[in-house]
Amino acid sequence: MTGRHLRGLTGAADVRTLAFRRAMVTLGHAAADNDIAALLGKPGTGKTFAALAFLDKVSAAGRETVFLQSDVTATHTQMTTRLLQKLTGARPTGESFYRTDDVVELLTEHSPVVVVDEAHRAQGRGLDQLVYLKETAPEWTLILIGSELPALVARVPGARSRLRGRTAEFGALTGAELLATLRTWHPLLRDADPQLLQRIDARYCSGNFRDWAHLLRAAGDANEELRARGKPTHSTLTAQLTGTAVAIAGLDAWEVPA
Amino acid sequence: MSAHVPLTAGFTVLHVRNDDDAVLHARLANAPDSGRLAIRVRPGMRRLDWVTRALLGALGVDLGAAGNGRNADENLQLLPVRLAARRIGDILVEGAETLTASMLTDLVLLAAAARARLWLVTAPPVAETVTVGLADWCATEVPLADADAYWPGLVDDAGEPGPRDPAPGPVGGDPIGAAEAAEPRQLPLTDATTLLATARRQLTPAEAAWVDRRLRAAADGAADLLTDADPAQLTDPVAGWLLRRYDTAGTLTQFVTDVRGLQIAALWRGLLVQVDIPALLGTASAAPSAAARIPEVWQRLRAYRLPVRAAACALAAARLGSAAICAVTLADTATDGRTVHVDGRPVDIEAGAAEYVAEQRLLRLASGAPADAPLLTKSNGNALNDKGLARLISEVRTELGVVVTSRLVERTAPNGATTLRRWGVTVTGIGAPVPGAPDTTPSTPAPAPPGEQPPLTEAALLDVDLLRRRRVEMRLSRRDVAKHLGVTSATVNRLESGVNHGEQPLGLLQRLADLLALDLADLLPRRPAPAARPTAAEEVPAGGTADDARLVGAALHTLGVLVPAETLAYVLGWDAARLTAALTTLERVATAIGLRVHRLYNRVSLVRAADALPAEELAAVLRHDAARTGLNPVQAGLVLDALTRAVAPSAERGGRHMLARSNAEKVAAGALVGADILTTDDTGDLALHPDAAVSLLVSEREAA
Repeated sequence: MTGRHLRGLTGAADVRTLAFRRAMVTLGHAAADNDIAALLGKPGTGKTFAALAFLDKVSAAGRETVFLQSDVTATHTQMTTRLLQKLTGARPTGESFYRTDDVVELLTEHSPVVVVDEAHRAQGRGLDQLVYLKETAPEWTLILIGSELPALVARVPGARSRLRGRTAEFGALTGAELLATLRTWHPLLRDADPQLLQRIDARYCSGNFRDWAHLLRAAGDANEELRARGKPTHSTLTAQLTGTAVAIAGLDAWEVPA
Repeated sequence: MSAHVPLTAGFTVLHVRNDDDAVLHARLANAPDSGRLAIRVRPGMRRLDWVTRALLGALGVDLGAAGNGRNADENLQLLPVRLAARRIGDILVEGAETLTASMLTDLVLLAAAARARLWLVTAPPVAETVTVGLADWCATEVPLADADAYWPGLVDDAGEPGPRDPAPGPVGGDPIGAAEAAEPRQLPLTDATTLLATARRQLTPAEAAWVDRRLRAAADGAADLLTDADPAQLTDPVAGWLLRRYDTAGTLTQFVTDVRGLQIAALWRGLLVQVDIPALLGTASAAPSAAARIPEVWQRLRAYRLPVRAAACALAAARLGSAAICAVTLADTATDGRTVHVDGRPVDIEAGAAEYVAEQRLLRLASGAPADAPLLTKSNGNALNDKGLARLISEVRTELGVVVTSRLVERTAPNGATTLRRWGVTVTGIGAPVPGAPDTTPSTPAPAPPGEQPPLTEAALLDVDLLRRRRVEMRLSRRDVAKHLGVTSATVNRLESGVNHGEQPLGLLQRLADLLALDLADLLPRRPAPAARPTAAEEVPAGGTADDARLVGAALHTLGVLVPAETLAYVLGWDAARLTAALTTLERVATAIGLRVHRLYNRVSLVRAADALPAEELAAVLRHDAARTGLNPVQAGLVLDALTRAVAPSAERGGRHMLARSNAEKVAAGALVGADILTTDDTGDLALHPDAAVSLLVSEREAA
């Protein structure tokens, strides 16, 4: 868990949880065999963080990496076009049949590790195209990330079988593991009251680290506000700071009666 | 798997249900030489042309080669002929559930025309149109297990080492067996003095071993030839030897390797054989006349969608003149393409090339041509003329490297002097023979550790990032660049991916730099930056040295010329040690601001980092220059001296300036040292650089 891809969160440290270490092993094997792998799990459980950390490791070893965000328009042509853009740095031209050929050539040439984030938002044809590319030019690695990935994979022939044995699951952290992770993760939580953390998690965050980041960002803002007014700031997350932060972050907004 | 569904020969539609979502590899099941063609439908396909293109691709057609365009209808007419000519009996289409009803009909009709079994593999969900279509065509249901038994490699067996995993065994195995297949398409463009070393560096181990073997064999064969002391008497034997090689060499690579072997053998006999390689490579009139005789080379011609180019090459290789080739009619051609009647006499077509003649004949007949129509035509069906024929053959030469000539004059053996003049070959005596013989026993280079290929980018001569960036900035596509340079886009691809830079002619690189409005020196990559780029602030040590470095830097920057170090020390009032320390510091910090301390003997100056050509790039450039022009007699004399001393060390040591006596020799020595052909040994003598020693076949024992 880190603040690196949780924008605006400062001071967070990387925490190598059990799921993270398992994922790194799975991805490492997939990259070594140039296979397809998938990271599954609920939102905010650290899938993207693990993939980014893995890409850092891979690119430090000298291998090319590509990070794609998919959205609802990610069809087969979109996937081809984006891969071409990332691999060549230029806007691709030409007929889509030949574009696919170009991507196949480039993938063979560069042998990159391609991460497709939010893959469940892509269209079936988009994933089908990725599977086709992987089948035509096997010498690259594909990593799919998505909370709803199984639903998409079920719609694409051959995708489920190709992912067998190459998936890592991220579950929401609970109990002692959640507490330990939170405390190592952010300086504001290091000396925080465990019962308070449990209560916050139960009420607002339910193990979702994106929500935790949201809250901590708001707590940081509240501290800034105090400093600007010349008042003493909080070095740890207290009930009072949490109250302010919840108000700033608007976490209770839905519960405000009309 | 015991009860197979019986397969009937000829046209049938078979339906394979992949309901369990097994992983299929159409790519691995594809085996056109065994009569089986397997493709996978591309996602998002909207017209059948995608399937026909994929089928052509599975046959080995390169859709990037000449003769392509928007040929949707033509492909559908062309395919039955090509499938019949290649004796394709089975076509497998994976992902058939995405076909529309009309595509399915067209595909079935295509298979019927080619008399092939059509295997349609579907995975759920299968649309009703497909189910209905299959029922209309009375498709036989075949279990996946049967399909797997018939198509080896189709179904991925999880757990077992499938064909996707590279077999661990044969990596370090016998390299001799696959020797001929390992022939490089082009030799590195360097002189004989560094060819072998460059080949080892730039080609794959298998290719380098092939060059090594061929070169040593050629040097061995040429050694017996060069016994006469008088160079003038050698012209005829050398010409005869070259002509024999020219006739038996399959490809240009083989012939040029033989020429290089001759040059090495000649140098050992104290002779300089100069060959104008650009003239040899660049003109069709100087190419091997009986090229493309091996099946591998003929198979390269499968890259063309239409068989017309390959058929033209087949007829030209059968030693027919251009007029005769253009006049060959369909009635003159045998069904199997093995013989063609010209003026009533039968002419044999080479076995590897007959398939293309047969395909061309079938295609012409299928398009409705009468028996007296010409065999080869333009794309619009008109008769081919000499110019069109020349264009077809030169396309094959530039795109695929398959060389056949079409001029009758080339095939009548000229006398020795004519051949030598045409190839730009001269034989000159430059000194006494070397006491000894080249080591022609094939060396066995240590096999590369399995799974560890040498990085291709090691040989990258140009800054590929800059190249790509600049091209994108100028909004040029690779195809545009290729068009401007007059090369194929594959060459531009290779240039941009950093492989085979060494093989590209210097002129091409120069034109590329001009096109991108760059200086060739800018394209040469900078010296690899240190892992952590030093910033001026953190790198400068505190105290007096930093100030000294700043002072020296300012002085050198102001002067802008090479200044003797002593003068600098005198002007600044420092001793030599202080100046050396300051210069060392300056050297370290200057790189961070794009400057570089340039030293020439005891003189120093501060230059832009881009202005100073790093040593290895300079050597590469000089080597290319040497390859273009060949060694001149003065340079060859120095190389011969060095070679003699490497084989038989003399008692007295002369020193570099004693060995290179005249001014011309000093200039030549400078160029050779710069090109890493010669080097200076510890006593100051000129000696062979290790690269040159390897390439000139000095045996390991003598080198030691």
